[in-house]
Amino acid sequence: MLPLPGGSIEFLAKQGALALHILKFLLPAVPVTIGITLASFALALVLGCIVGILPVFRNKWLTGISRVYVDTLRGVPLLVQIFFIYFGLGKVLDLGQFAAGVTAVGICYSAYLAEIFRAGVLSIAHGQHEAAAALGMSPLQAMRHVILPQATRTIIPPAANEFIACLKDSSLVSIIGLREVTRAGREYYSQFFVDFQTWLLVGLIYLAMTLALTRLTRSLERRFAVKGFGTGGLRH
Amino acid sequence: MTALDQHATAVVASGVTKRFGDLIAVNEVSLTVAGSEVVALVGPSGSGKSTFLRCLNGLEIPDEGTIDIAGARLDTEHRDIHAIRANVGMVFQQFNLFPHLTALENVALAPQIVRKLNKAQAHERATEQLRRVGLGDKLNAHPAELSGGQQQRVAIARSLAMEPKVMLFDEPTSALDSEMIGEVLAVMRDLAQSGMTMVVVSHELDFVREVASRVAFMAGGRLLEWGTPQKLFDDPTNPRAREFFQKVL
Ligand SMILES: Nc1ncnc2c1ncn2[C@@H]1O[C@H](COP(=O)(O)OP(=O)(O)OP(=O)(O)O)[C@@H](O)[C@H]1O
Ligand SMILES: [Mg+2]
Repeated sequence: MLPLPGGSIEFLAKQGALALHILKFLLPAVPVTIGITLASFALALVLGCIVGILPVFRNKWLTGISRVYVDTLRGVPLLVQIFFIYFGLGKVLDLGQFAAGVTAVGICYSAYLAEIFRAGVLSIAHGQHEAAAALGMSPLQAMRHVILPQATRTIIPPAANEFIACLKDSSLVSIIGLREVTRAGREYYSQFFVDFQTWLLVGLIYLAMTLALTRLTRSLERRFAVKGFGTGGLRH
Repeated sequence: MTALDQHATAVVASGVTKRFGDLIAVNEVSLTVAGSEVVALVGPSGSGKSTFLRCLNGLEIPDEGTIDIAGARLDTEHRDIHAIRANVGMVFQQFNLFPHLTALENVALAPQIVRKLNKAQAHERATEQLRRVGLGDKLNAHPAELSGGQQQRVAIARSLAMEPKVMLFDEPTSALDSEMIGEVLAVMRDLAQSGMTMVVVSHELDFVREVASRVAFMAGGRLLEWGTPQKLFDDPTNPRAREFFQKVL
C-alpha cells in the first residue's frame, strides 16, 4: 500500500465532513425536485397524448390546433414560459410557485411528447387502423386498444429521454423560488461560500436520479415489448 | 315488398362512384346481393375491385351513389358508420391481425369493446369461432407465431365473432403460399354453406366457380358484365371480359 502523504488523513476527514454537511442541506430538496418532475411529466404525458393523436381524426381543425400548439410551445424557451406563467398568468390566476412551475414545465414538455406520440401512432401500419375500423371500433377505441398499445414500444425510448430532460429542466423553476435541489445548492453557496464541492454534489445528485430513471425506463421497454417485433437488444 | 325487404341482410349498391383526384377508381357501379348469396368480383389489377369493396363498409366514402348494407343506408353524411361496420365483416389480403394480442384476444377484442360483452362471454365466443376455423389449439399464440394460413383463419374468426350479416373478402388468399390457400378456402366454403352473405374479390377462379352464385367482372372502374360463373367464365359477352377470362382460365 502506498503511504499517504502527511496531512492527507486530516484533509480527507475534512472533505468527508464537508460533503456530509452539504448533503444534509441538499437532500431535503430532493423530494421537491422529484415532485416537480413527476407532476409536470404526468401533465405532459396527458396533454402530449391528446395533442399528439388529434391529427388521427383527419379533421383540419383538430390537426391545426395540434400543429399550432406544438410549434408555439417548442419555439419559446422554457425559462420564458416559466416567467410568463408565474409572473404573467400567475398573478391573474393566483398560482402558487409549485403549481406555476409544474404547469410551465408540464405544458412545455407536452409539446415534445405530442411529437413523440404522433410519430409513434404514425409508425403503426395503416392496416391496423383499417382492421379496427372494419370491426366497428370508433377512432378512440381503435387508438386505445389497438394503436397505442403497439405504439408504446416506439414511444417509450424517446419519451424516456424527455423524462430525463424534464428532471434536469426542473432546475429552472429554482428561478421562481421553489426550493428544489439547484436552489438549495445556491442557498448553500451563499451561506458558506463553498462552490466546487457544492456544485459537484448537486451534479451527482442529479446523476443518481437520472440513472435511476434510466433503469426504470429500460424495464418499461421490456414490459411493453411485442412478440415478433424484436426487443431492440433488450432481453424479454 | 321490395327485394331489400325480403333480405334485410343483403347489399344494394347503386351508382357508386369513387374518385382519387382525377382518377375514377370506381365508376357508377351498381350491384345487388341477396341474402345468403355469394357474389365474386373479378377483373384485372387496378380495376377498382378493392375500392368498391371498401366502399361497401365505408372504409372509402363514395363520391356518388348510395349503398344499403346490413339493413342500413351508408352515405356520405352517415354518422353511425361504426354501427354499420360492426355488422359487416371484412377480411384483408394482409390479414391485419393485431400483433400485440393473442389469437383469442384478437377475436375477443371487438365483441368486448364494440358489442359490450363481458370478458368471459367474449372469450367464449372467440374460442368458439377459433374452433370453427380449426384453430382451437392456437388460442394463446401471437400472430407472429402463426403461419399465413393460420393468421388468415384467425382474421376470419375475428370477423365472425361480431356476428356480421355480410362478409367482405379482399383477395384473402393472395398473400399466402400455395400450400396454405386450401385451408383458407375451405373455411370460406363452409361459411358460404352456412348461409353467410359474402362478397369476395378473388383470383381463385375454381373456387369462385364452385361457391359463387354470381360473378361481377370489373375493368377500368366499371362493372362491365355479370352473371353466373358458368356464363361469365365460358361465354362472356363483353369483349374485355372475354379477353380477360381467355388469359386467366
Ligand atoms: N387511396 C388511394 N389513393 C389513390 N389512388 C388509389 C387509392 N386506392 C386505389 N387507388 C387507385 O384506384 C385504382 C383502383 O384500385 P383498386 O385497388 O381498387 O384496384 P383492384 O381492382 O383492387 O386491383 P388489384 O387486383 O391489384 O388489387 C387503381 O388505379 C389504384 O391505383
Ligand atoms: Mg385489390
